[in-house]
Amino acid sequence: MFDVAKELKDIQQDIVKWRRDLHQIPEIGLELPKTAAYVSEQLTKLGIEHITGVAGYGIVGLIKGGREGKTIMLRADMDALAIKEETGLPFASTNGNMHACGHDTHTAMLLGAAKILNKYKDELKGNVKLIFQPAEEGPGGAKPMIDAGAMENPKADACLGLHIGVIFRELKEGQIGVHYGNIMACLDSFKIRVKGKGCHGAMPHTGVDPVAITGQVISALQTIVSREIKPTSPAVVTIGKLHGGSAYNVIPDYIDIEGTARALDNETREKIASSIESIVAGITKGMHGDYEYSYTFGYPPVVNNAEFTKGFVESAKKIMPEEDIFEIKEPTMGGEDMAYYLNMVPGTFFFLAGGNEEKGITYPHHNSRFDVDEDVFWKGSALMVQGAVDWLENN
Amino acid sequence: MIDFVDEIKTIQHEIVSWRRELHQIPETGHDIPNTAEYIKKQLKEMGIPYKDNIGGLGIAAVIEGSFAGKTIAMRADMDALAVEEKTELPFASKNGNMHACGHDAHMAMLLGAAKVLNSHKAEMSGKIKLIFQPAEEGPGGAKPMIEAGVLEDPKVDAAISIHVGDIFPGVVNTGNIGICYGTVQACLDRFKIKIKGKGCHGAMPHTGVDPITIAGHVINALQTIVSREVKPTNPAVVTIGKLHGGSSYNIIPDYVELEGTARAIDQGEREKIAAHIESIVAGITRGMQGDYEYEYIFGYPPMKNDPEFTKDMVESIKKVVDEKDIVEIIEPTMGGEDFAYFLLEVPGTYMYLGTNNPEKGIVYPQHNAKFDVDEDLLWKGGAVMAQGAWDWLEKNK
Repeated sequence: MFDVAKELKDIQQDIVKWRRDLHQIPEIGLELPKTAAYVSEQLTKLGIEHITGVAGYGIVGLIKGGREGKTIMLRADMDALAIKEETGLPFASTNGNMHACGHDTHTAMLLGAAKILNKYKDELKGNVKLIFQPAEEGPGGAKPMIDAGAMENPKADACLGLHIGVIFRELKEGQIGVHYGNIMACLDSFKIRVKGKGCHGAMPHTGVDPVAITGQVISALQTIVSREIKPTSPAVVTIGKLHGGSAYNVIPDYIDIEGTARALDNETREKIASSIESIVAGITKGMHGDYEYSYTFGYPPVVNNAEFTKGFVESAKKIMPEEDIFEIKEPTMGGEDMAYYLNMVPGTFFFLAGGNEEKGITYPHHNSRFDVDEDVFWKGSALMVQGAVDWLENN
Repeated sequence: MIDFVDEIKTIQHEIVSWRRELHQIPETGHDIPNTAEYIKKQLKEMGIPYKDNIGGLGIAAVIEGSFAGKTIAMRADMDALAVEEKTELPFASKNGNMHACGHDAHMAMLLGAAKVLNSHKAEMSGKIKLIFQPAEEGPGGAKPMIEAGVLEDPKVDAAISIHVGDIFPGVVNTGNIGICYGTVQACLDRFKIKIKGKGCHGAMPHTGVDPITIAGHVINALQTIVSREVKPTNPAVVTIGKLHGGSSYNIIPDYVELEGTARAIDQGEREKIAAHIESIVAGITRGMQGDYEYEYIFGYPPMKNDPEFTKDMVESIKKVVDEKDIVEIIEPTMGGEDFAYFLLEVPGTYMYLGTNNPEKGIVYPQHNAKFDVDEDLLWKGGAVMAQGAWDWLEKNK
C-alpha cells in the first residue's frame, strides 16, 4: 500500500491553492453556484466522475476501486457565512461573505484526499464516495442531499468527515480530537406565542396580560434543564427572541418567543420538546391565556460510531504520533448536520486543530478574523485517505 | 334667578352644530391649529376676549362680571386621537384622526356655557376663565398651560371640568352626572427598564449572561409590588406593555427592553411604586450577574377633587338634573387625566356626564373607532358647568 502521509505532503501546495481560491468566493446557505462550479471543475481536472446539482448545489463524486468492496463516503461542507472579513489576508474575501468557519479548507482537503485516492483507485477494495454539501450553517444541506439519494447508488456503508479550527480549545497545534459517541448536540428551534387578551394598561382586570404570563413561562422553562433532565445529560434551553406590545400603556394580545434547544441524545431532546409544551400549556391556561407552539427538530445530535472510531484511530496512528490523537471528553452543544449521515451509517466526525498561537491564529469560529494554519491541511486529507483505505480494506 | 337649564336648552342646536363641526377636523396632541382657530372664531363671534398660544396652542378667554369677585376656571380639552373613524355618521371624520374620546363635545359644551354666561356678565360677580387645552391624551397640555401662566391674570381660585362618554360603565349611566368627593382618577406614569446581560451563543449559555431569563424573573417580581407591597385598600397597577429583545432564536442577546405604566390613586403609594420597581430590578439583575438602566417618568398626578367644593357643586347640579341622576363614584378609575394638574393648584372638581345610550345604539367605549355620544344630552354638560360656576361665584363673592 502507498505512503499516504508522503503522498499528501507532496500535494500540500495544491490544497493550499484550492483553499485560497475558494476563500475568495464565499457563498452562503444553499446558494453556492460559484463554489460548486469550482469544485466540479477541479473534480473534472482530476478525472473523477461526479454528479452536480444534487438537491441544489450539492455534488456527489465517485471513485470506484479496482477491487470489489464496500463504499465509504467522505464529506465536506462548502458554505460560508454572511460576515465581512477583517483578516487582512492577501486572499481575503471582498464580497461581504466570509469562510469564517473553515469550510473552504474542508472542501480543499477533500479535493486533496480525492486526488490521491483517485491516483491509487486500482488498489482500493471498494468505492469512495465524495460528498460536497451546501448549507451546513443553515438551513441544512445534508438532509436534502440524503433525500435526493446522495447516499445511494452505490449505497454508502460508512461515513467520515472532519472539522478544522478551534471548536475544542483543548486541542493543541497539530492534534486531532476524536470521540467515541455523542459529540455534538442537536440544533432544534421552537416558537411560542403566548396569547392573552389585550386591554388598557390601567385596567388589567378587563383583559389577560400575556406579558405577565410570559414572565412565568420564561422562568419555568429554565427548570427543564435544572429539574427535569438528568444532571449528567447536557442540555440547553435558550430563548433568543422575545417580542410583544407596541405601547407602554396597552396590554398586548400576545407575545412571541423564539428559542433553541440542545441535547446530546434523542431521548433528552424529545423530553425537552414535550416539557416545553407542557409548561407553556399549564402556565398559559392556568393564567387564563392560551398558546401556540411549534418545535422544529433540526439537526440531530452528532453520534459517532464507537467501533468505526476505534478503527479510525488505528488509521490515524499511521499518519501522526499517538500522543497527538486526543480523546475529547466534553462534547460541544453546537450542532452539525454531519449528524444526518451518521444517523444513516456508522462513521465518525473528527476535529483537526487549526489554530496556532505562535502564528497569531487564535480567533474563534464565526469571527471576522478567523483563520486557520494552512500547514495542517495535508494531515486532514491524509487522515481521510488513510481512514477510507483502511476501512474498505478491513470490511 | 337665571334659568340656566332653559337658556342652555335654547342653544342646544348650536352646541350640536359646534360639536359636529369640530368632529370633522380632529387633530392630535399639541398639533391642533385648525381646532384652535375654530374655537377662537366662536369666541370672537360671542365677543369674549381671549389669549392664545398659551403653552402651545392653548387658549384662555375671560368673561368678566360687572361686580368684583373671584375667578373660576372651566376647562375643555381639544385634542383627538389617531384612530380611524368607523361610525358612519354623516359628520364622521375623514382625515384619519377621530374625536373618539368626546373632546369635541367638551369644547361644544364649554362654548355653550360660555355663551349663556357671557349674556349675563352684567349681573355676574367675579370672572370666568374658559380654558381650552391641547394634548390631554398625551403628552399633556395642562401642565404647559399652567407653566405659561394660564392660572394667573386674573388669578384662578377654583376650577371645574366635565367628561362625557362611558368612563364608569354601569355606574354613570345615560344622562347621569357622576361626581366624586376625593381621588377619582389615577396617576399616569411611565417607566423604562433595560435589562443588560452579556450576549453569547445560544448553545453556550455559561459563556454569557442571559438577559431574557433575568427579564422573566423581573416581570414576575414586578407583579408582587401590587400584591405584596401596596396596601390592599390602595388601588394600584403595574403593567408592562412592551417587551423587546433579541434578533435570532439561537443567540442570547445583550439586553432586553421593557416599557410599562404604573397607576396609583395615592401620591405616597405612587412614589413607593417608582422606588420598588427599581429596587426589584436592581436586586434581580445584579443577583443574576446582569445590570440595568431604569427611568421612571412621573406623568399626570392622581386627580383629587376637593370635597367641600364638590359638595357645593352637587347643590348646583341638583338645579339641573333630578337628584336620582346624580351618581356618587365610589371606585376611582385607574385611567389618567391631566385636569389633575389644575386640581393640584386650586380647589375644584371633575365631573362625568354619561353620554352612552344603549337605546340609540351608542354603546362603544372611549377610544373605540365607533365611539359616539348622545348629543341630546350635551345641554346638560353646559348647564352643569354654567350653574356650578355661577353659584360658586355668588357664594364666594
